Amino acid sequence: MEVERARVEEPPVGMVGLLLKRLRKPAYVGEYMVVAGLALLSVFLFLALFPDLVAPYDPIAIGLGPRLAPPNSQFIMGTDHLGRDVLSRVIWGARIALLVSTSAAVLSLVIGAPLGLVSGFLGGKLDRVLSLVMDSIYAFPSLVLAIAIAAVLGPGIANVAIAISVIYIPTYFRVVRGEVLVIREQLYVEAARAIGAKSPTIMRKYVLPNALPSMIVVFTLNVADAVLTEAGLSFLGLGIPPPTPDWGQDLQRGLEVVLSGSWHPIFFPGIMIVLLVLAFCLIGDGLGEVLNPRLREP
Amino acid sequence: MASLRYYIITRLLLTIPMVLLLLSLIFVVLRVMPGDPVNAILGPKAPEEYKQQLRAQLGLDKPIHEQYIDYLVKLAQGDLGKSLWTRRPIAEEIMEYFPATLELTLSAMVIAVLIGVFTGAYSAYRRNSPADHTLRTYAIVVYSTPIFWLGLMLQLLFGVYLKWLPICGRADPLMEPTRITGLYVLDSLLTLNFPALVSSIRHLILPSITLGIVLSGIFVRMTRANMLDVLRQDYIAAARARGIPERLVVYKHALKNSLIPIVTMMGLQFALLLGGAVLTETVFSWHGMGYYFIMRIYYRDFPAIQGATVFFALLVALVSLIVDILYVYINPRVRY
Repeated sequence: MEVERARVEEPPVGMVGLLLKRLRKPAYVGEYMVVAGLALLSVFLFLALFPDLVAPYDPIAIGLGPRLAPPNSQFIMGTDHLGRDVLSRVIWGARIALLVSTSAAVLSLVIGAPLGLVSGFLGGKLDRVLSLVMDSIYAFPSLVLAIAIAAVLGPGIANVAIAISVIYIPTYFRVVRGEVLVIREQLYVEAARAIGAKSPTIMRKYVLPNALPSMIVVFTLNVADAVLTEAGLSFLGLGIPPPTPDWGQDLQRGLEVVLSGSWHPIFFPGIMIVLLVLAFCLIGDGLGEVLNPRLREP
Repeated sequence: MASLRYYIITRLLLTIPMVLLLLSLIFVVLRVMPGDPVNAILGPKAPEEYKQQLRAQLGLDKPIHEQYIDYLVKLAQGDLGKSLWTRRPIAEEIMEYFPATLELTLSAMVIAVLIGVFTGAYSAYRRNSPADHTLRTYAIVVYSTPIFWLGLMLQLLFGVYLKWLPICGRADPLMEPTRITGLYVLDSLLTLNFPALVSSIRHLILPSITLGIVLSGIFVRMTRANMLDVLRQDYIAAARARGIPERLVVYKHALKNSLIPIVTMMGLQFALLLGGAVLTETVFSWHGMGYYFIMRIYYRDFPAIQGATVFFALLVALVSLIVDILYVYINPRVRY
């Protein structure tokens, strides 16, 4: 009787609603981490959406000031080796970083999750072959693989996103497949089957919602990693071609000006990468704690 | 122990499809890559008949599947082919470049484990203290740091401003030790060449610290999590009940047991370490496998890129196998 009433009084708010409700009053470290990460991320989202409102100059205009001018009142973060404004480039760089990393993570989610779902659910030969393929990709150094694919596809925003997405597909495959193997054996799935539910229905209605929490955490952490990988590829000259403002590409130029002792064209793009990755890491790790009470810390 | 032998053989056999799969992927991917290696060697303006001649000589005029089968047959005989760029056997080149990577990754791993295990254990011991919060923040910030940026900042600080340490290469020119193992520090010691020893160590410091610091964050987190797990166990409560001082309980009873998963972690992080080494080697012009790989991608040197890929895949498989075997020895409860 008690149980019945409780269910009637609390309408189902869904996971997102529940989460938002909890986050308004953070109670433990994980929730603080999510709040801090979201706050940091919203700053970057603002920069990425409205860079022209914030940036004082055109990010690709050459010779705005002297070359490699240290930070001063006119150029707050100084100028780079072509006399471009570092601040404006750093602000516009947020757009590329967010665009490439999220689209790469979405792409791998869209490919990896269904494959894991089907593979785990159907089992058999298909499962064994797919698992072997995924394990091979997973075991290989991901950056090396991304470098090879990026080199083949050539520079460009879409190509970099594709190169990065390949290395995360196995992650989703493994997470979803693992979840499916557990859920498949549950009594409620057997019950659903007994009343005549077809496999696609079971996957959609029972298996996917259960795999969702871990997928959200994995997604956030993948975006964090994708920001680093994108910067790494651009740093190696295999990512975003100039003159598009990009942090990794600015750091590649930085490698050439190290000896001149100019710290500002190196320091600022790097610190932006650190902060953006940190935002996603805080959200991902924090959500991990929120969604998995066993990890929770007071 | 018979079951262990069976396990090792199975694992070794399983690496074959993995290497084949990655190789096929890279092979196909390289052939559709824009950029002709023949142009890269002769220059785009070379006469067409020379280009044709070289293409035939290198076997690049055959259809892809024939090239692939040729390559596999040679690979089975242990032949990785010759570089298009230097015309030297690739196996020979890999043996020349790999020791540099080994030296870098080993020293980075030592730094990462030393920082990670001790601070992680301390963090768990003083859970929720200011020190714990600082260390947890350190771990997550370090994980968020692009390795090449950290390398650049360290170069600026210690190389350019303070002028304490060199920022590129493995030793001062003409100071390289006589080559025995290819590990400069070890070679200098073996030949008792002390100037070379000092030079190699000075060159090794910045790259290995760069790679080690970035990796240490993961070890801090893992050690802390494992320690907290172990500290909840009954035998820890029993040790405390016997009146053993808390310090001993933490550092002797708990740390030893939480080290077991850390060995596995070291194996899992090896692939990450290799990826980090590629960037670190590029920043510090450290002539290891990562540098080799990147340079040969720039030159469109197909056989070299394939050879390096096969080598990386085998290396990763070998390390994870070694780690699994080590695991059995340090944790007698595990039986395969």
